[in-house]
Amino acid sequence: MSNLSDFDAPKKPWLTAFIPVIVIILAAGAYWIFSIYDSTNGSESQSGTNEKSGSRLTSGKNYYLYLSEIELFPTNEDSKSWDSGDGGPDIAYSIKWQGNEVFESTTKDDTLLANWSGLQIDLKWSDLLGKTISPNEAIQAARVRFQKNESVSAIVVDKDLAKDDKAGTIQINLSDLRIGKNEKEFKKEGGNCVRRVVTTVLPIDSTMGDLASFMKE
Amino acid sequence: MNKLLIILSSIFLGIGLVAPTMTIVPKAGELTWLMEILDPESMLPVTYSIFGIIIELANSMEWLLVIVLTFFSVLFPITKLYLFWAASSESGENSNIGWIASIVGKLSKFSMAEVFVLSLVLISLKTLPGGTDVQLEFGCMIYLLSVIFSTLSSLRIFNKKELCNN
Repeated sequence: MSNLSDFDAPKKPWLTAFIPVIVIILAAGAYWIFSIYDSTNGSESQSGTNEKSGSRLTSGKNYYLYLSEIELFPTNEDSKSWDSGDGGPDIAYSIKWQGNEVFESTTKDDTLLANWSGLQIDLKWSDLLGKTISPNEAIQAARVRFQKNESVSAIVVDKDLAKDDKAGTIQINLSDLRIGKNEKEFKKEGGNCVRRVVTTVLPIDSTMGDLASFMKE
Repeated sequence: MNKLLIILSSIFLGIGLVAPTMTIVPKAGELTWLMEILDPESMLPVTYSIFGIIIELANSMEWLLVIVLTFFSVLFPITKLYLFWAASSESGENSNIGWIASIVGKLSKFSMAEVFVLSLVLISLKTLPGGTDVQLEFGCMIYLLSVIFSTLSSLRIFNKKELCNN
């Protein structure tokens, strides 16, 4: 008959040595659960960029502004076809801010519905030898500062070899605009032949990733 | 005291394996802004833990790196701590302590191996083109603490062995 109790019995070091292994698993598990809980709470409180799509413009801040879509009526102000023959109008626009032309778009040929992405990189073969392209060069938009009760005007034309035909002048009140796309429809009256315009506004201080996602929306 | 060091080392090892170890900030040189537009998701910074790196390497079928990293940063430190605890639990009269201590001694020579392997991975990533940056996160420090505590523990086990021999 043995006098040894369970407590006095020799310990088995090979079994008790699993204690650190268990501690490692517990510590890893505890941290993992904590990090999941933390990331769940973090994503709830995260507000993303300062200016979200659809929010109002902030006074004193600078913005990119461009017309991402222009739709013209099928006929010009004289109710005649835009170009001689079957060709549609070659649409281009310029933006005036505080009396100065601050942006001129490229021309979209033979269309009643013109689109601009706001991004454009013109590369020539010689550029492959080493051209530095900056974001400012690639973003095709007017740069304006938002002040209350200020407006910009967009002059839409049908580009022709001889003389450009005016399609309409759109007054855009900056206070009416939101970040992202702003759609507005017009009637054909008083020399206006622009049916619809989509004005896109993007904060200048956004990251390129944010700008890209704003443009996609 | 020795067991306390092993427990602390175990806690730090457990957290160090799953906590963020490094963040890779992808860059494409002068065209970083353009890549952010064309493929914004691929340009987002990615943070990895040691486990995360191993899983990512396994997904990329880099089996040699998976085996090396798993051995040196997971299996090796766990085995080391297991043996350290076993050695600490042995009484002075027990003959096993000499045998365990000799294994511990051999293992201790490689005690910085896991840090070395981790450093190699970081250095290889540091040389990525386009200015891609690798930032160390707090998980790396925690992992390093685990190595320091296990090293202290092995030194104490050695002292214990020498006392037994004397």
